[in-house]
Parts: sequence; C-alpha cells; structure tokens
Amino acid sequence: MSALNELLGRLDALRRQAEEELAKSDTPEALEAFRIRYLGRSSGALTALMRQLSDLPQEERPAFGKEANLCKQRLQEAFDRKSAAARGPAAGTQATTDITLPGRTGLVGHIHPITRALTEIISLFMTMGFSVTEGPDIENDYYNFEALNMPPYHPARDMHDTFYLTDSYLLRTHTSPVQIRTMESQKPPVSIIATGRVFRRDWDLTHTPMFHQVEGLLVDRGVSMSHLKGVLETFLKAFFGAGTRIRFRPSYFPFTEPSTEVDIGCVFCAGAGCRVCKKTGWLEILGAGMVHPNVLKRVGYDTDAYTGFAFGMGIERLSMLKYNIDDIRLFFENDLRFLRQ
Amino acid sequence: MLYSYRWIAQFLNKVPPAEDIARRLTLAGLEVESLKKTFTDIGGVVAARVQDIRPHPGDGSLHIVNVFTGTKTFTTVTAASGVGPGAIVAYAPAGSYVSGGRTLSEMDIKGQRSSGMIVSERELGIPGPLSEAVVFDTSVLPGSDVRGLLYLDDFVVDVAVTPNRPDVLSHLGLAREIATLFHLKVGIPQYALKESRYGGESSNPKVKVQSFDDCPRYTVRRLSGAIVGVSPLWLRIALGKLGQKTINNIVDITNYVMFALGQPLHAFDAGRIEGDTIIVRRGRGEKLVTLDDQERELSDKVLVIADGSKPVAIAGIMGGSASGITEQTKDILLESAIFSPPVIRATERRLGLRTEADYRFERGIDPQITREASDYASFLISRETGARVYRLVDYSRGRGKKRTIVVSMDTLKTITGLPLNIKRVQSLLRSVSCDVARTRRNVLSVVPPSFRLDLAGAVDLAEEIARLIGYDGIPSRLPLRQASHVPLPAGSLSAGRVRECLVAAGFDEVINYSFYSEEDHALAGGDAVRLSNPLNEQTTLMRTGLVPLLLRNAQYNLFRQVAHQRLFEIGKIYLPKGRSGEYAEPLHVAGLLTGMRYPFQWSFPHEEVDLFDAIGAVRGIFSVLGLGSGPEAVPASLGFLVPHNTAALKYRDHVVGFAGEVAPHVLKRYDVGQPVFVFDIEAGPLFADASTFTKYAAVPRYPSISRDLTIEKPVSLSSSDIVKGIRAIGLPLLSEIFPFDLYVDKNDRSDTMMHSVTYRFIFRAQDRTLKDEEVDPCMKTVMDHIKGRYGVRLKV
Repeated sequence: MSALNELLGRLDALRRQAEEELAKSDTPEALEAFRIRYLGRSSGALTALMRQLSDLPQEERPAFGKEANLCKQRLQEAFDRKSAAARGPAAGTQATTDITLPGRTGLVGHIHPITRALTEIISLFMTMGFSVTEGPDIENDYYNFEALNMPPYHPARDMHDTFYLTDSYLLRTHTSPVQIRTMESQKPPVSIIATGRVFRRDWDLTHTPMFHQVEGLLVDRGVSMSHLKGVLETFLKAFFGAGTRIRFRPSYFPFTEPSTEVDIGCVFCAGAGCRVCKKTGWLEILGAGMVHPNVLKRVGYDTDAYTGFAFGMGIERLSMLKYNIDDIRLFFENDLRFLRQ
Repeated sequence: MLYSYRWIAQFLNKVPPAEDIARRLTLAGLEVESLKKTFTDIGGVVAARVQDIRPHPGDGSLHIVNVFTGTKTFTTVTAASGVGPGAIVAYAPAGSYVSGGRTLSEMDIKGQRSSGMIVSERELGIPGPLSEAVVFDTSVLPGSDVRGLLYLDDFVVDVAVTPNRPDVLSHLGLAREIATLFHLKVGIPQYALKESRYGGESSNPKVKVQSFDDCPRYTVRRLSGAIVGVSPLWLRIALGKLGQKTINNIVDITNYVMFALGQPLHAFDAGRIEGDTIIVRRGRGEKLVTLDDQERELSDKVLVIADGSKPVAIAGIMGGSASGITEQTKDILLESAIFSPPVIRATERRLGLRTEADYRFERGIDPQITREASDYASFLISRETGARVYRLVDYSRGRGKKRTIVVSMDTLKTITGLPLNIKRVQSLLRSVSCDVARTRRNVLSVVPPSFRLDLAGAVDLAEEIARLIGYDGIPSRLPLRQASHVPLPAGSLSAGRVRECLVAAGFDEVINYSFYSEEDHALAGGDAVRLSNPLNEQTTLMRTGLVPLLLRNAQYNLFRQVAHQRLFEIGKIYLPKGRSGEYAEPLHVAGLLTGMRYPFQWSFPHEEVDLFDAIGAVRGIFSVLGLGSGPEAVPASLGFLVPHNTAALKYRDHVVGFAGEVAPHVLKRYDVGQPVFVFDIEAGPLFADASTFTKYAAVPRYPSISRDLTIEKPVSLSSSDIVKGIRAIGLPLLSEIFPFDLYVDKNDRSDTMMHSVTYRFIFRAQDRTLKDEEVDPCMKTVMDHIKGRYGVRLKV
C-alpha cells in the first residue's frame, strides 16, 4: 500500500467519522465543539491530516491535495447547513430579528392611465371582432376633412380648431382619417378600430392641445343603427359597468348621417344632477353615426350594397369618468404623485 | 343660440312648459345647453301712481314724492326727472330687490325719511342709454307687478344648433321644430304693411348683381322719413334677453327680425349712398372702414355692396361706417339678400370677422323668407318711427328648382334599423313640412320645405324619421359577421412588452405633447417640422426627440419634492418630408433616471443612479424583445450629455440610440439640481427583429464548470473589446463570459487609472460532464491570448 493510498484511506475514515458526529450535534455548543475538532485551523483533525501532505512524494501531492480540499469543502458545507438549521426556531430562545420592519420590495413603475384605458378599450373591441389599425399624426387636408365630407369652407370645420404645418398638411384633429385610409386599402366588409393622438388648437381649463381618440368603423351588408347601438351599448356597459344608463341623441357630423351623440348616466351623481353633468344627469361620452354615402362613394364602395357605422371617442374623457379624474390637464402634466396612484 | 321662451310663443298656437320643450329638443338633436329664468334679480317692483311731488328742502336736485301702489301710499325721495303728478311709474318698495342684487329698505336721505325708490330702466337691468324713471301708460293699474307689465318673466333657452340646421337659427325656426314635436300650429303673427309706389323724389333703387353665384337674391326697398332714436322699451327688453346690445331703433329692428325669422338685414342711410344703383360685386383692392371702426382691405375674394363710386358694405358681414344709420338719417335703404355660403366664409376667414349675420349666411338662408323679413322689418320701422315704406325691389336668379328625394322603404329600414310602415313615414315627413307622394308600393317621392337645406338625400330622411321617433325606439342588436383575423399593427405587441419591462424596472410611464419649444428643440436637434399657427411657444415645433420633455417632467416633479424618478415615454418623433415626400413619424422609447437606485428604505443600499442604470434599462428592453444580451455601447459625444459619460447604443452595427448623463449646463437651463441620466432609442429596428414567439431550447443536461479570472487593465482598454477578443478565439466549450466584479482605486482619477475586472467563465458540454482537465487548457489559451494581445496582468 502506497503512502498516498494510506493517506486517502485515513481521509475517508475521518470524513465518515465526522459525518456521523455532525449528525448527532444538535445544539450550538455541540456544533461549535465539532467545528473546533474537525475544521479548526490550528488543531482540527482535517488540518492535521492535510499537514501530512509534505510526507508524500512531489508527484503524488496534487492528487491528495485535491481530495483533501474537496473533503474539507463538503464538511464545511454540511456544517454550515446544520448550523443554519440549529439557529432556526427550535434553537430560538431569543428574538434577534424585528419582523415588523417593512419587507424588501423593489421599485415598481406605473403605466399611464391613458395607456391603461386604451389597452382596455382595444381589448373590448377586439373581443367583438374589431381589428386594430393606425394612421399618421401628421395628416393632409384631404384625409382629415375633404374625404370626410367637409370641403373647404364647410362650417363644421369650425368645430375643429386645427394646427397647420403648411396649407395642406395639418395635425389630425380626429382619428377619422384612418377610416378613409382603411377603406382605400381594403374592400368591405371592414371592421376596425384606430387609436392615437389627435390635436386641437385649444388650451384652457378643460382642453389640452393634444388628446387621444378611439375610432371605430364597421362596413358590411345590411348594417343599421341597431348594430351601432348594440356595439356601443355592449362596449359602454363593459367599460363603465353593467348598470350604466345609456342614451342616444340625434346630432350632426358631416361624415355620418344619421348621426348620434351618446350619453351615459352621470357617474358622479347617479343621474340626480350635479355640477359635472350640468344638472342634466347625463354625460356626453362619444359621437357616432351611419357612414355618410358621400364618404363611402369617395373610396369606391358600392353604396347600394353596403352601409356602415362609425364612432369616435376621447380617451381622456372616458378615463376621467372611469377613474374619477377631474382635470384633463393632469394627464399631460405627468405629476408622479398622480401617475404613481 | 339664445332664444326667448315668450318670443317663441308668439309663433305658436299653444306653448308647452319650458322644461318639457328643453327635454324634447335635446332628444330630437337640438341640444339644450341651458334653460335660465330671466331677470331673476328683479322682485317686488310694482307700478305706482305719483300722487304729489315737492322739492327736497335740503337738496335742490332731489324731490320728495308720494306714490300710491293701489293699497298704500309711500313717501320716497327721488333724483329722477320727468316724473309728474298722475304718472304711473315703476316703484320698488322696501323689501323688494332690483338689478345687481340690491334690496330696498327705508332710510334717511338728507333729513327726509324715504321708503323704497322710483326705479329707472337701468335698475331693472334693461339695456339702453336711459337712466330716467320707467313710466307706464296711465291705463296701467297701480300695484301691478312690473315683471308682468314688461314681460320680464321669461326663460332664455340656449340651444347648440348643429351646422346642418340653419333653419333653426331663429325664433320662428325653433317654434317650427317645437310645433312638430308637440303637434302644434306655427305661423308668423299677422301684421298689415302699407307700401307706397315710388315716384317723385323717392325714386326706386336699382340693383346690379355681378354674379348670381355670389348672390342668388338681392332685395332692397326705400323707407323715408324715419325718426332715428332710442328703441322702444319692448324692443330693448327683447334683445337684452338674448344678450344683444342696443344701437338705435332702426338697427335694433333689423336685428330683431333676424332673430325672429333668421334673415339677416342691413339698413343703409340712403343719403350716404351715391346714385340710385346698388351693385353687388367682388372687391377691387379698395379700403373700407366698417361699423367697428376697422379699416378693411377688399380683395377680389371679398364680396361687397357698392354704390356708383365706392364699396359701402362687406356683403353679409358688416356695413361701412360711412353709410350706417345715425340720428341724422332720414331715408333708409333696407337690404334683405342671400349670399353664397362659401364666399361669406372665405371673406370671414380672410378678415377675421364674425357676426350674427355671417354666421347665418354661411350656413344658408331659407330663400322663401327674404321678402317676408323685409316686410316684417318695414312694418315695425313704420310702426315705431312713422317712416313711409316703399315697394320691394327684388332681384334674383329666379326660383330654384325644387329638390325631390326618391327613397324606398327598404333603404329607410336598413339605415335606421326601425320597423317602419309607409303610413307612419309619410305622416312623420309631413310633420316637418315635406311634400310626400307615394310613387310605387314601397317608394316615396319627397320634396322638403325651402328652409330645410339639410334634407338632400335618403339618409337625411332616415335621420329625420329616426330622430322624430326617438333613437330610444331603435332596437339594439350586435352585428352578425364573417369571422376573420387581422393581425395587430406591427410593433404594438413589442411596445406592450417594452412598457411592461420598464414598469417592472421601476419606471413610470409619461405621455408628453408631440410638440415643444425652440429651447427644447435646441436639445433634441435636427430638422424639425414647424407649426404654422402655434398656440404658444410650447407648440412651436414637432418634437424630434423625447428627452427634452422628459427633462421638463423631471424638473416639474423635483419641484414637487419627488427626488427619485424613473420616467419613460413610448412615443413618436416627427421628421420633415424626406425623399418619399411624406413626413416620418418613427416611434422612440426614452427614459430618464435621477435620485436613488433602490427604494429609499432600510434594507437597500443608499446609492445614486448612474449611467449603467440607463444602459441597463436598454439591456432589459433588448432582453424582452429577444434580441440577445443588449446593445453595444460605444463612446460617443452629444452636446447635451457629459463627455466620457455618453454611450452611443448600437444594434447590428447601426446606432439606434444613446444613453448618458445630462450635462450640467443643460440641467441648469432646465432648473434641475441633481444628476440626471437619460436614454433614447428608436424602436423601429428593434421591433422589426423582435421575436414574436420564443423558441425554447433544451435546458443543459450536464453540469458546467466555472472559472474566474481577474484582469488588471487600463480604463482605456474596453471590457467589451476584451470579451469580443476572447469570444473570437472560438472556444467551443465556453458558453458564457461576463464581468462580475470591478475594483477601482478611488484615489486615482487619471486617464491611465487601472480597472481590475474579474470575469466569470462558464464552460459546458452538451453531451457529457466536463472534466477539469478539459477546462484547464481553455483557460490557458484565454490567458495567453490576453497577455499576448494586451500585455496586462492577470490574477487567478
């Protein structure tokens, strides 16, 4: 038996002996005694055995050193585990931890309420079979007005305070141009919603020069105002709650006929009449109507075969009512005390 | 538009309660924005007979008057003149209240007890020049309430009239609508107009219209011998309820008729018109001072009314001040005409003028009301001023063709979704004055009335029927359709993942305006799209970067004591037209960090954010998009970022963004007092490559072996170069390498300072458990490579 084998044998025996003893050491005192006996730096049994390395021939030393180190590492790990367990509840005679300190939570950010509302609105319409599409913020006069049955000098243009870039380019005042862009590139049937930023030249207590809209368009055979009501009632009840009262009123938009404005029962006073609803008990929430045949003709749709409806609504307004926000400017001041709520 | 309830009642055989009217109008598409009682600040004021009057002993300008209110006599002191014994005046006894919220009481005026007061028009809130006492006809009984005597008891209804319903822009128009909704009779009150023939000194005016396209109808008539002066009380009260000013009796009557019938009128001083021909033509670059004392230039886009030598009015918008009605006016030329809406609108835009008249002209006037309005105004002028009325000179293209709409029941049913029968449809359309004939079993031929300019096609009739029935009656149904799938717009899923990733990393989402100021643009740089009609300096340019407005957000929040901030925005920037001829709107993701790195809490280290938090956020974005370990950061320099603390971020060898520390001079300009780090990346190239679904690889089945190696290197030797160099060796077993420790001698700030970076190498084989003997030579190769290439010290 070589010197190496002999030493390896002793190492193995020591390891087994140590493991047995460790298994029986349950108190902190016993564990400390174990540590000194086996793992101690000066007088530990393992250390003593490792000192005998120098007795080995040069070429055999790495093999033993490696085994010894591995053995020491394993014992140390086993000891650490056992000690940790011993410090646990069974050993707990004293409270060393103040468990009432607040737990450690990382930073958590917040999604902007507009994005939240948009996401919810998009998913509601997607479940009703609408697909999502987009259009540019910088539009030309044709898509923003003319194709929507608002030729130059149409009085309805007054309802849109427009930011112009040039004579023919402007910042879209509504998401309705996406209707035209979609119909130009797609044959009926069409059912889309479009969301995005829109711009009006108006900045005061109740207006911001930019806000967000969701636009909807459905063109198919035999589409009627009944369907418009069905889709919007379904949406509003899902968004504001099943008990929401809904009212359709005739109105006017150049690109729809018949046109309607939709009100919901005031969410603040439940219809009793308050400052927000101007004592009417109703809040105007969106505009809609049957797509005007002039608009359909312009994109080459057969108006004898197809009819459609369109709607548009302001996300800020919907969010204000849903999340109880009383000032539209809060959306764009980006006050973290607001956004972090 | 504002309407007086009493005034509307003049056109109806019966009038429903105001609240009922308001409710029905709103549901019929004429939204009532408010319904207000008038003169609510007047109460308890009564008619009283002056019994006797004597001078006040203490003040010569005052009188002591005894008034009798039918039951009692009161003594009051007054300054009003023109009050004689026997006159019936308006008297406010103690306890009553007058305009401005004043409540009357008994008081002492210069030693004389005075109860209540004799009130003037002004104290009743009636517009006008007079501060004299209100004096009634002697037939009025003392004690009668002044509110009733002067028709002060009224409602003003504010209706938001949509642009398609110019026919409602008058009391007659709204009365017609109410008549339909409540099944009433409507009509203009009877009056008898006496017209004289022209002749002698009163020659008939002649009219020349350059283009009937600009002016399809022009009527004018002469009224002579008018006495111009203050309007009668009833007229001033009527206009006052609508918030209108009073000018003089002639102008007030023309306005009154416009609000009554919807036809704007204009009165010229005939003495200021040269010759006897009125010409309707385009401007020729002349100048005209209008009634508001502004000098206006009259280009050929502007339609004018001219006499033989000069323009005297801007057609349909405003008269010239030289030909206006004054107290010297004796003869009047009264114009009632129709002008082309687009021409009026163009003129109004060009001159920036907005009047009640052009508001109606640009929406359209009932061609049948032009004469009626002239007659009615002439009657009133004659009655109130004694003027002689001459015959109407009527110049027009002739009668327009009648519009006929042919519509099938199927169309009406399809559009409205209402179950309709033809009898019902006929009666509904007749109720709005349409002529309806049944041409075939299911087809109607409909001629709308002259005032309903909006009824042009089948869909308009559909709306008319639906709104008369009420939209409530339309059944609600979900559409039945062919199912289909259209994918979400490119990038919208990616944007959602990026948003979630940043929120999870503690960032709060902001939404900023798409425009900003010149100062902000100085930061973002590049060519920007300019707004031609900005609202203020914050809407001057379309943004070319997201960072400037994030800095504004940081400043805003720092001023509100939010010291630790992580903000991000996912939004478009806007670039001028490129070669494609279109504006570009690339999507960007940008973020800002300032303050503490971790929550300010006992269990976290109190450390400030630095550049690597910014770059790390971008690494996170790459990671959720499945684009590998992150962007490659290369040293860069940007004017608004601190040099040597700025990284250009590259993806696939293209710069897609930057990260860096905002330079102190910029922070100062933005009023930010603490270090700020930002990043901004263009989303397009990343979203284009983002994996829409993850392909999972098998997890390793065999354990790995890791080795650590410390490299002591000058700061100028970049870590990424070292890693790239090691990777380039091509060791097949090396699966990962990353720095996990950095030691820097804090005292050394030179650019030759040394960094001790410890890298962890992870080796792995797919098919077996690796042995140390296999890894050792790999590490030797690595160490030889580093030593040989960079000549730096290594520590194992």
